[in-house]
Amino acid sequence: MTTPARQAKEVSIQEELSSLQSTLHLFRMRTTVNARVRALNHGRSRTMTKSLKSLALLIVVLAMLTAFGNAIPVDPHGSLDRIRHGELRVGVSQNEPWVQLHDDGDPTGTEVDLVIEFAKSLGSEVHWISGSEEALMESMNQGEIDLIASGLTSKTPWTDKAAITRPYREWDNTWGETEKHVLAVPMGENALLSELEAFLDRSRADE
Amino acid sequence: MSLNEQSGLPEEQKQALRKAKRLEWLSLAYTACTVTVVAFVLGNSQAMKTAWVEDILSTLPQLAFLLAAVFTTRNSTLKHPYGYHRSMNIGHLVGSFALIVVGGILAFEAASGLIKAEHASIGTMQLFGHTVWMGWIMVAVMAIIAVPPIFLGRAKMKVARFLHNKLLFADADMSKADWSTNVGSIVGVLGIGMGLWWTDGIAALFISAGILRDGLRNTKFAVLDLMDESATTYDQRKIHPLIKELQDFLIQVPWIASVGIRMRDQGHVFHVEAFVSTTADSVSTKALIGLTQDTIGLNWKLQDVVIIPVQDIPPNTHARYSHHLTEQ
Repeated sequence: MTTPARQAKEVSIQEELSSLQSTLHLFRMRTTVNARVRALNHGRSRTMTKSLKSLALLIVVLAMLTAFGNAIPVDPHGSLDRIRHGELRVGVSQNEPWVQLHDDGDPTGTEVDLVIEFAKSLGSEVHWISGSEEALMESMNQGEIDLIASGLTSKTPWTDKAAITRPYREWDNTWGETEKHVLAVPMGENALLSELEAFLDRSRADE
Repeated sequence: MSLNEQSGLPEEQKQALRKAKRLEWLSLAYTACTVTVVAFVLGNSQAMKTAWVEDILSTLPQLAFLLAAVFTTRNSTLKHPYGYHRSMNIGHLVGSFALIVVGGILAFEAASGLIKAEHASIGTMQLFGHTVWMGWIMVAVMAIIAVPPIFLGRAKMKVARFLHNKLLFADADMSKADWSTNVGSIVGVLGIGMGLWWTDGIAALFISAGILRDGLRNTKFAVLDLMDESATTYDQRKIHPLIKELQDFLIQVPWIASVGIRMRDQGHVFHVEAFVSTTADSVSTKALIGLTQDTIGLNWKLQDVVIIPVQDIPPNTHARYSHHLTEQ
């Protein structure tokens, strides 16, 4: 009764069965392995969540960096954006040879020249506002002035009213002391401060 | 009764103490470096300033530990019959109280800065001919220096456990958590960079709150120990297991009917008074001396042990009553 064809079929069925069984075996093994891994992981879960948290934090920081990386720093009041191709409002106070005021016409002086160059680099026009240093500082705090040029030095007491730039030039005064000259911009307008400092670095390198 | 100790600690613990001292010197040296580096990139960010002061403050427990370690191993004298172990608690108290004061000042500064809407200015610096926003350098510095204290903290934690040293434990705990200060200042600086001036004050507030919390917690622990609280584990979490161990040991002595234990933390070691009541009419001196010696042999922390026979166990001692007595 057993034809070769049938025999062959039986063999093939058996083979299929055994292969199925081995697959099943493998599957079972895998599930037990999975269970074991899960049990292991459970023990590690506390450290896992901890490192997951730090990872999440890292991702957030990186996302912040990629989103704002090129634009950082940003001005809270948008000074630099407003000034660019617009108006740079500069507070000046008589202090020769840095700043000299004139009854008619714009001020002159080395610091005045520097400010004009800075305005040019931003494609903006300078609007001069003169007054005492104290009055200028107050106006700047009120957001009416973007920059103060009055021959300030790094020894200025206005450090908590204004953001002081790095010294752009050193100068020996009449008493033989070295004065480090600085400019002042509004507190916290860090894009403006950084732009100005970068400009000062460039103009110093050009000298 | 008999006091076993002349010198402060057994050899193994002395070794651990030496290791702890090395770790603390290492921490101090490391902090000296970071404080110097950070001083250069401080800017006028309140968060950076707070993190910087926190860095300086983190040396307080280390200095207190090293100072106390000079005294703690000294032998007891007629003038100081309990030895000098308590110097650790005093160091702990002084260090943690300083944390409260400075943490409070910093928190006030941060809060008032926020209320006055002070905007932090962070300019640039010249680095290899390039003008770089200083915020980036701050972030890099704070990120790099955040890592080593985690490992230092872990190493110190291990020794603190072995030595039963709460000051070292507090220091290790703070080192381990120090990275959160750095993350805080990084968030503050990046916030400033994004034009969100208030992140600086918030970050500073967060960091100073951490300092304040450390100070309050540790002052509490130091005071509790100085007030002779029942001995606890090094992390102050629970009653020290030696109390139960000692109860178990004493109650199985045939002539002891009940036990009451007072155990206080002297620093590394405990001072123990064990009150025992007996069913017998008399207790031999020999038995009492032998028992004291055996008790001291139980654990290195039990160096100063007195066993006192009493009629009734005094109140508020860790009491244990023999079973066959209650059954009678």
